[in-house]
Amino acid sequence: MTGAALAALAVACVAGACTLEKLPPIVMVRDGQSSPVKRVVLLPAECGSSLCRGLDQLVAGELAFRGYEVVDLQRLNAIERKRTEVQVLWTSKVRGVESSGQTRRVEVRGPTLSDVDVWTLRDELTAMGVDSIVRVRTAEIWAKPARVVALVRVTRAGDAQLVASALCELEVGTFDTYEQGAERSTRCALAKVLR
Amino acid sequence: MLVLPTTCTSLSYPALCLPATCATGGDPRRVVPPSFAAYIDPALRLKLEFAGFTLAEAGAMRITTADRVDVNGKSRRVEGEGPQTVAELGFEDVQTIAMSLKLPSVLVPNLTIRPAAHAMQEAILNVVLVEVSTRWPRWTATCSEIVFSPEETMNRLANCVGNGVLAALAPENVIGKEL
Repeated sequence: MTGAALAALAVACVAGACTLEKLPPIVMVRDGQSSPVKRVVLLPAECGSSLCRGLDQLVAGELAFRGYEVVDLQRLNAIERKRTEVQVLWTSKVRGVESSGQTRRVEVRGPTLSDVDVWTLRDELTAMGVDSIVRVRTAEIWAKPARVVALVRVTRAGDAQLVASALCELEVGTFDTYEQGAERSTRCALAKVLR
Repeated sequence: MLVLPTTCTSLSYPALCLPATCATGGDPRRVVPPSFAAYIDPALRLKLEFAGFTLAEAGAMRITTADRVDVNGKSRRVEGEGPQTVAELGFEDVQTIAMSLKLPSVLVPNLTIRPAAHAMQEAILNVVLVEVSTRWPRWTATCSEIVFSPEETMNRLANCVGNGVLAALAPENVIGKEL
């Protein structure tokens, strides 16, 4: 009897946790000076976690889909890079049994734009005609209920003036992870910036 | 503005500035960050940017060009010797770099942990915006709280300072205000 009551209580708790209404999202938008945005660079934040990189990629992909030219600092070479390829083909014969194989090593050496100093980077971005800088930020709000907030901000490259920014704060559900909440809130903020 | 990572000071017991010292129980697989900046900086910077400041992160600004080696598709950065980013420099050098990049101010966040009543600790987050040309603070925002849960307290302090700056400089954007 006690076991059945506990099981019923557990089911009720789980069901309650699943169906609890979440706080409505808080969305705030701030517009700056209107400015033509065509070629953008997405500056990676200091946070180098896989989550931050993933969110940067998410935003870069969405911007590219919308027709913006997104400059990827990690793919553009800062200088001419040196490529060395070594291919080894081998055969051996042991007690009449012949075997063969091959190995290939491709090494590319030299900095990309994500590795250069800040002055070089500034000059390179100007030379490439980058007109805007996009920054994605997320932060966890340690509270009960836990929340996550994301900001997508577009600034003019020439004078760092705000073009548009949007912030979206969401409650992270009982069965959601922080990463899931961060992705949802980033998508929410991005939608407001691209509106 | 150029923003520095949050530094921590504890005169009575320096180990209090290490999150690992304060970590209690919980999941042993949980990764404890090396400093409290991990709990403070994201929330603080997000709010400052929404308040209208454009932030240049000292920790992401390289002062030397690193080399990169990609071997069979796996990429790694090869750092040289000495400081690599602005965050690793002394304040005088930081100011010089801010001037060279025409950044008018430097944001200096500092966390102090000190003993409080009933064998507790008090955490104080002090954020100063220093004018580069005059070296005088333009504004200071401070929040303090007794430490109950290190992660939650540091995060709350960051939000407190961030909301304070929002309330003072961009009151129309205080989070939680009815839309």
